[in-house]
Amino acid sequence: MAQANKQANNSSGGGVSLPVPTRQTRGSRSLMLLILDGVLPAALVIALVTFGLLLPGLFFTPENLLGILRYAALGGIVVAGFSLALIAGQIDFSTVQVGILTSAVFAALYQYQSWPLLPALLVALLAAAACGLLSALIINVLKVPSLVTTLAVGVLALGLSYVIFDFYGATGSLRLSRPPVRSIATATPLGVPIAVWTMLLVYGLSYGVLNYTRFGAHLYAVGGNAQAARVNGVRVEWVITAVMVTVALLAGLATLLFSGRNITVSPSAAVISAPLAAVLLAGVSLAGGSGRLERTLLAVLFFAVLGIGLSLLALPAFVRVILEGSVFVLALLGESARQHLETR
Amino acid sequence: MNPSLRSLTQLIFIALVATAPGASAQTTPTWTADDVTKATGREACGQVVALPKRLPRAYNLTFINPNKGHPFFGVWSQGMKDAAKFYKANFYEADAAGDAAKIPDLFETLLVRKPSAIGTGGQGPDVLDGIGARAQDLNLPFVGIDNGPNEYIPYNYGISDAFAGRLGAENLVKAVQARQQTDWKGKELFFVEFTYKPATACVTRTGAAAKTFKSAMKLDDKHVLMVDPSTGQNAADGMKAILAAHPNAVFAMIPCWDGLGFEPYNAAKDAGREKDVALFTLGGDKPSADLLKTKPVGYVGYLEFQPYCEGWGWVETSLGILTGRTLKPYQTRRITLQADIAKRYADLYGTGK
Repeated sequence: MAQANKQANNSSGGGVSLPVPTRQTRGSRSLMLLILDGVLPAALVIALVTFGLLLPGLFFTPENLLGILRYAALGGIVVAGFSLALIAGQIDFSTVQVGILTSAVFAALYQYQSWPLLPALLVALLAAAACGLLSALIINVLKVPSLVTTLAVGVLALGLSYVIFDFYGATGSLRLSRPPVRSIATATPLGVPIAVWTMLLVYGLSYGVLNYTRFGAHLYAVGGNAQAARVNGVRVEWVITAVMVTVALLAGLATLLFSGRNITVSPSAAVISAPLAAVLLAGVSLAGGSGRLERTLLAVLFFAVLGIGLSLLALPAFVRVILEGSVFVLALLGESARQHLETR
Repeated sequence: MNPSLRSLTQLIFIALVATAPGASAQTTPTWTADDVTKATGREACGQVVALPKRLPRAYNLTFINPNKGHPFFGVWSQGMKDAAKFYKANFYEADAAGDAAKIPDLFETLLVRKPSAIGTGGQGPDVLDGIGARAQDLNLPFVGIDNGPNEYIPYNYGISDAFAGRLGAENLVKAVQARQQTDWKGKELFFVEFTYKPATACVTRTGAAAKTFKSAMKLDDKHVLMVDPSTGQNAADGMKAILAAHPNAVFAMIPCWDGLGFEPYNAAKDAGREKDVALFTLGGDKPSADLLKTKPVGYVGYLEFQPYCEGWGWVETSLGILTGRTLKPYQTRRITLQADIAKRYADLYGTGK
């Protein structure tokens, strides 16, 4: 099915007749794509080896490796959703704000209104889903691009969060100290933090859906060429709705774990500030219709290795910012080259 | 009591006192306040605790700097490094680079350094509650800096927030009263408090300033305004709205930190109302000195938090807690006004740019 998806992708030219590539150009194109695909795993290995050499006896310890996974986990959950949206040709810039709203609703109901855990959790996640649904509605009905739509929905979500903060929070943040929230958010089944298990579960499920289900094929098809997908019987609006709701739910879930660990919900509870860099580095196309979740996971891990390694080296912040910025720029160049090669 | 028995009792008492663990700590030679002042050069820092010249064991002090690229927090870092070197303690630092959400992860990362104490600074309960509770779980001393009180963290080190706010307001009152004799004569006066509610330290700091100013200038509640960027409106926009609502009024302003005051100051300047504001800031790092040196009409001066000394004092505080010594609070009361800036600037940064 994965292969089928890729073929569907590559053939979704939207009726545009493309020049037939010769065997030689096909060969060099494949080689270039192979090189582009190899950049991320190579960068990850180079980063691991470099930090291992620079931090002997410190970097490759079980505690630190677990720390890298923990560092990656919550942002990784959001980035998984972000990747799914991008594959479907949508971009969601409301993840931070939707996450904050979800946590604020949960804190209001569970901490301040003393609701039982599960109903409070359910209503909080419904609030996240409602944000995703609203975005989907605007995209599908009003045909507003997802970038603009989600920016607007994000502002609305943050505004609603401020209403809750204002109503309950005397110091600009809401408490979330009622047991057992922190115990759940910081639990370590089999010695591994629950956030890491959640991330692995999210990637596992998403991988399965993308590669082994009809819905996964439809995601690629809608992202590749929505018009062509519609002509072929794909319910484009339904696919967009499902993916926007999924992204919102994942953002809500990650921020709930984050807030539970921190015992508070605050308007600055951003579990990840730049998901775009990770997905582009993973080779998920900005144009939609291509991308692989396992590569997104590698990109998330790469940024975590970079973040932890540079922190342990105690290099000045500007080194980290320059390095992360350079990776972002290289990811953009890679994305541009990939698009060029795929449309040649 | 028999005199010989009394002498024996006294001898036993002296022997017991001399061999008690606390007493041996007190008899070990310690660094004096003069040593510290000399070691800190032009910063001439005070001493928070007299520490032994030879620490009883190796200590790993770890600190998550909220943003080493920030002029204030960057200077903290230098003070900490120098103090750790002076006292021969190991110091490991992680840099959150302005992303406070990363602090809990960096806390976990620093655990690989086997810390004796850990801390971070300038944070509110949204960050501190979680890591404070985590430090308690690990039985690891948490020494914060400028965080304000927190229920999960037993010791609160740093600027005395209420004192700083009060001192700032007292200096602002003098400046405003002087202007009320000249160009502000007969004008309606407002006090604007620029705070940041998620940070407990800010609420205390600017709250004390507002209370002091209000009382000294006999303002009613309607003339004490608050702008809080955590509500979604940034300080500059908040100021623009206030200026528009009161076109003929004048404004005395105190922010929680320097930068939070410069935004509304520049907004007033852009609106052609620079002469209608009097700003006193809390912090006094280099950008503030650079600005004050140009003697802008509405910038009265600042209270220096002396970040280098604060960073130095964090190391002393941590080591003081680890060696069970009595700590003095960190004191900062150095005011720099337009009249003093030239000399102070030359002392701290030389006579160059």
